[in-house]
Amino acid sequence: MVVIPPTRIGLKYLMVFAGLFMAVSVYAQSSVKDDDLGLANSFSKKYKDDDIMLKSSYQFFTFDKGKNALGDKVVEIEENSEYEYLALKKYSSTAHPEFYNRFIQLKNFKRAIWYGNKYYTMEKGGYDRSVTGDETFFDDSRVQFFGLRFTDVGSAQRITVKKQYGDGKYLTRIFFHSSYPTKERILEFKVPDWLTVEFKKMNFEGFKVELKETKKGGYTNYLFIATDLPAFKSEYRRIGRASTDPHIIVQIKSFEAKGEILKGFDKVDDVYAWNNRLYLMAGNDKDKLKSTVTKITEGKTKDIDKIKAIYYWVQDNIRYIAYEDGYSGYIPASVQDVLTKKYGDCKGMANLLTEMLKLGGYNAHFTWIGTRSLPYSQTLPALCVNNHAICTLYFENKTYFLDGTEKWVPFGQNAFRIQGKEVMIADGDKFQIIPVPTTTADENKLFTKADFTLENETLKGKVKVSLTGNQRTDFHQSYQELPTTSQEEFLNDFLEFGNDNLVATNVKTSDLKNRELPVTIEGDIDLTNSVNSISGDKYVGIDFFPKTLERFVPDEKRVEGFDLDDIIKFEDEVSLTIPAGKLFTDKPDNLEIKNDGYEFKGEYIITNNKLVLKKTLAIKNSIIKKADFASWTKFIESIKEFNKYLITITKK
Amino acid sequence: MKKLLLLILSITIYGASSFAQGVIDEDFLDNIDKNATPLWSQAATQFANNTTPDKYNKESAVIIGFKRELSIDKKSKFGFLTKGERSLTFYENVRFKIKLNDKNAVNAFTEFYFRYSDKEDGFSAKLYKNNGVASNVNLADAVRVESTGSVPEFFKSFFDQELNAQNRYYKVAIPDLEPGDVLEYVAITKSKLDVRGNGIIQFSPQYELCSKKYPVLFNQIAIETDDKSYFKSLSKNGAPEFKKEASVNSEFFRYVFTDTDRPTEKDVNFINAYRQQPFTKFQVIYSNKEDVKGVLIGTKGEIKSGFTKEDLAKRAWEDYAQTGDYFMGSVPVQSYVNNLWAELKKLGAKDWPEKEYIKNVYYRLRNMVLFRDNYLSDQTAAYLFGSLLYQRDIKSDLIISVSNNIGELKDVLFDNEIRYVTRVGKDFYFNFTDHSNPGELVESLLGSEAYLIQEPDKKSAVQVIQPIKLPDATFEQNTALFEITASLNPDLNTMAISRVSSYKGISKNRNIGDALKFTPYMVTDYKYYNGNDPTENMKAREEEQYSNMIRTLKEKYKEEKPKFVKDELQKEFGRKLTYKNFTLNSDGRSMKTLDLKYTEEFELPGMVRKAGKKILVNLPGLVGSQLQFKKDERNRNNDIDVDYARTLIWKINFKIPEGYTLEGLTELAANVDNEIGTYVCTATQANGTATVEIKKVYKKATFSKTKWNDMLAFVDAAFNTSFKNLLLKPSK
Repeated sequence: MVVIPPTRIGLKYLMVFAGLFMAVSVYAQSSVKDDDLGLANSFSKKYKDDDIMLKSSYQFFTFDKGKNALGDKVVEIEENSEYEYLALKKYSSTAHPEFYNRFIQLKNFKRAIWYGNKYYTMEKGGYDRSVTGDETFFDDSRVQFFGLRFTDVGSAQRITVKKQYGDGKYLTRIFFHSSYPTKERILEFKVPDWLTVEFKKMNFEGFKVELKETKKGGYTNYLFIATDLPAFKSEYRRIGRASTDPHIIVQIKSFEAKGEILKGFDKVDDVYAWNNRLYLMAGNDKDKLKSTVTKITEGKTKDIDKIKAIYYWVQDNIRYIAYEDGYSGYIPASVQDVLTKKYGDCKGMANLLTEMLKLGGYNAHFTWIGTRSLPYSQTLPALCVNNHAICTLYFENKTYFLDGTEKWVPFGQNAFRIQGKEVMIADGDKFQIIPVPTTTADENKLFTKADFTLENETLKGKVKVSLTGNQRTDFHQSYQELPTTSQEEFLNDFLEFGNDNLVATNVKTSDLKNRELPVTIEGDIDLTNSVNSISGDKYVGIDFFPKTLERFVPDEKRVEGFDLDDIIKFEDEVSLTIPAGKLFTDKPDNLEIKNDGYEFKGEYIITNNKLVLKKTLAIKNSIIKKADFASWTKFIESIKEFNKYLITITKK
Repeated sequence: MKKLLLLILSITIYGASSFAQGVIDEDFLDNIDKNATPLWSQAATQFANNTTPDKYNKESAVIIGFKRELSIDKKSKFGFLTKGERSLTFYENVRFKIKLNDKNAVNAFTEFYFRYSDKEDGFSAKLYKNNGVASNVNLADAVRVESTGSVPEFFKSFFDQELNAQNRYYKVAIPDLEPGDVLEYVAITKSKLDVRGNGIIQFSPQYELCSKKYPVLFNQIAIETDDKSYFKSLSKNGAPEFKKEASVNSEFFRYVFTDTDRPTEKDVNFINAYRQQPFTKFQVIYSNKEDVKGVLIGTKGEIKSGFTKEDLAKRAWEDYAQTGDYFMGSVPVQSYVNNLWAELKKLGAKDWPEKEYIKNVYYRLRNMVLFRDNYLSDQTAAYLFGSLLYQRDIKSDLIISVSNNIGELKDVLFDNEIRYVTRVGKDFYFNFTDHSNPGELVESLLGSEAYLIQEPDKKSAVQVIQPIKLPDATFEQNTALFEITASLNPDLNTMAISRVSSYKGISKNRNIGDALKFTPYMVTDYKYYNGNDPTENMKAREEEQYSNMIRTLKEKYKEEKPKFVKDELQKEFGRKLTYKNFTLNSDGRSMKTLDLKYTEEFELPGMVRKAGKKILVNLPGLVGSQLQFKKDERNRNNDIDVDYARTLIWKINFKIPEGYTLEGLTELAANVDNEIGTYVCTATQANGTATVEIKKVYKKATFSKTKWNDMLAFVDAAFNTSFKNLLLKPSK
């Protein structure tokens, strides 16, 4: 019979709907334990949006001695894990990934399904893929994964994993939450007496994580148990999980080998020693930079001009291309390599910038830093503290942080992603830890000045936008990377603020080749469809430039706070002049709201036939915590309400 | 003779296997370079210099030259169908040179991709600096690309694009690259295609638009084939033609397309690129016979650029007549006919009145399509339908036509450009979709030129070919009606809305997919052809399993539908809103419920502004976002294509809140009526309700560019009105 048998009709749609593509026979092979069904039913009531739960998640770590690729004696770690999944809904599906790279081998990876009264192994070795991100040219990060498909509520599958960390440094941190609600999550570390290890407890406050410690036969067992965890949900502009979610940082402090005590990461000095050792392995041939540095600084007499010339040259001429394979993810490319190729990653650019400045006679240093997504102090001795490299320059009693990867940043300004973060500055055998300064909303301003006159049903006038601080840099980073053919349109769009009724003409700008100047864009502007003429009166809104925060209104399901990833101040001053013989009525009330992290002030001022709207919105703290949602939502709603008002223009 | 089409997914590709991710093997490098070296020495004056015309100085990049040579060789002395010869060999030579004028272009070409999947594959790239210094790009740092899908167009071999082959590609970052530089590469690839047992190979038709992302100074495609090949090509809208040239190898034919100095095309509204922009289409067919039944094959050694009416009708009929032998999956089409007829007989089809039988056959075939991963080709659909009608001796006519995207029947060059339609009496039956009904029209065939064809006379070979025109649908037949009931919530901020949407004709076809998404229409689809309940012949356990699955499906849909409707509404109005309810009033899937009709209820913020104690309500804004032509589109170089004629009507009833009076009705009035379309807005009030009626008509599907001002007037009126407000004044 070639016609599709009727028994498959509904099933096919179920499979399509759920993204399942296996044959019916596969679904028919599982069975459900009563206990699992009860547990699944209980969890599905509590976690209504989730399809799958982790009944148990157990990771067991043992330690051994070995050697890394550099020939160092190191601690090797073996991880044996077992994850037991249960379906909370029929025909649910997911994937279990295991990540690995040159330092972490995936030795064993199996999937089993529960049938009858035991698990049957179905697959050994998952689908293998690179997980190199778009921003990276090449790296060694890979994943293997299994697709898990369930037919019935409570049906179970088990994943077993064996991994080998060739060097214990690369087991940095472990989070307790997973992508699924979890009944029980256990991390067990069987630590031999020859090893000193510390487990830093991060964000444990407010979470129930139990630690059991037992000693037996030359080992200490550390057992971390967390129960009844909700799933980790990815949310728009969520505060980084390292700042909010409980996790442990594994710190191998020292170990004994053949009577000798060998250092791990006990103190920050040890991390520096490791970082600096890899940094020095770059193999720089500084002489090869000389002619380029001479050429870049040619004709410059002042030191500050020479420094800027070098910094800007690196920004403008070195493309960001990251090639991170094994230790090349940690060892910077040599300066001569980066110079010749004119590309490199952050380490390569920092290395080149440092050496160029040194050749110019300046006090520059290679520097490690963790961006804002890593909220750890440099005093924490672990590799997960840093994920970025820059150059630190001491010049005329000031410290400057120069980031070659940040294009169009003026000398002395720091990208928001590194502000407030501590840096580890290389200085031979020594190092220094200091913070990158923060800025205020006032320093990152977008100021809009517009003057309109009412001409029949159209508002005509001039508008000028000025950008300073990171707003200026953000503008440059968008504008300068556009095809030349699209740049004019971009400027027009900028002045039209996404308002389809605004048309900008005669657009002029400040010198956009100079990254140090505030950016100004100005032009003539016509606004149509903004004047409502009804029964002889006109109703006009001049709050043309609403700064929408709509995307940051939390919905009822939002679990964690927002990280706006910026601090900024918007200032608008908009005037409208109407013909003599007309007058404004129905002036809206002023609005002023002040909170610790955000402020708004808006007022309309009428002077004869001129109306002026002055409006300020300042985001002074990029973090909106969940506890602040009520006042944050009210803040946004109030601004929206203020923006809603129209002015009536009537005859005198 | 049985026609064997080239099935892309079923072919065997040599050299396609999985490799570990990593850097390139240094042992390959010499070979790659050596294989590419001869290409640099080929005479190519178009690639000789690095300058570009001043008129392109403001372009992001300019392609100085793009030359693709494809040679297809059977590599056999005895004909490629001979025993023991399994493969066709493809040699592709590519030369590409581009000037990068700005950083955007530098970033776009910061990496080069190349293939090394066969030991004869070669690649070599050069970088020319502004000062004239040239250097070779070092491939030693190249890394393997894991998926061929991520290789950009300019670097992927034709063979790999055509067959989606997963060959081994590498990428290399170009050192020392900056604006003003010129990059050039040459590449040669060798690929093999397993053609065992195939009597004829039709490569997919190629459509080459002349304009590309950057201006192109020289674009050449050369196809060389041996004497078993047939080549077809047609250029349209002013594109250059392929020309036959002498090949170095006397046993080969060479066809060359050359386009020069082609600027970019601006992306504008209401355009059909293949009807208005220059392009060429071409196809290579391999066959060991000059006359293959059912194939638009052309003449050996010559460029075939069109077919006569007689040729087209003959080939189409031959092809249609063989349809029963073709396979759908692993089963011949004729078996489907036999099994469906057997099933219909069990349902009593022999006794159904003729009209009911035709309708039920249609719905049975639609049901089949509903549960397939792919739609049927027109040809298969017509064959299945016609064959099942034949079982009841119901006479049907076969119609061939051409999509209005392709043009006219004289423009048909490839088999897959022929569209098949069935006619019974005066009624036309088009291919089945998940939701189509008997007699419903298809957008791409509206008003298309067509031939009614019959089997050629066996003795005289004379074939009846009757020119006809397929039915068109007017703006009165393709309608969308939105009946909106709106009122302000007590907070006087958000608007409570109930919207009943009704669609007919092509407008229904366009909207029915989304409307029925996450509704369980498929569960009862068998009822439309008087079929049996799927559970009828099930055992108890099967029935229970089936019922469970259906229940789960419905539960899932119940969860998903509100999310989907909310998302769609939010996209339509460009803001967050509160979803309340969705009701399907008429599913549009049967003759009794032919119209699609559904009701959405939601609360919409942002439609209200305040002026003191007065309230302004943006009722025309309830039509959703309207098209706007900005200044760069207000002059028109291309003819206008709005897809299909249609009417959209909004009837908005707004309850005036207690304690308020309404003003501004006359100010809403708008009326534009011209050759392109109509836009009318009227507003009235009665019994505490304001009524705004908006009508928007696209009178035809296509218009001359000379009518652009009419289009502007019509579109501008709709855009401007959508921002107008009514005024609510407190009564006291």
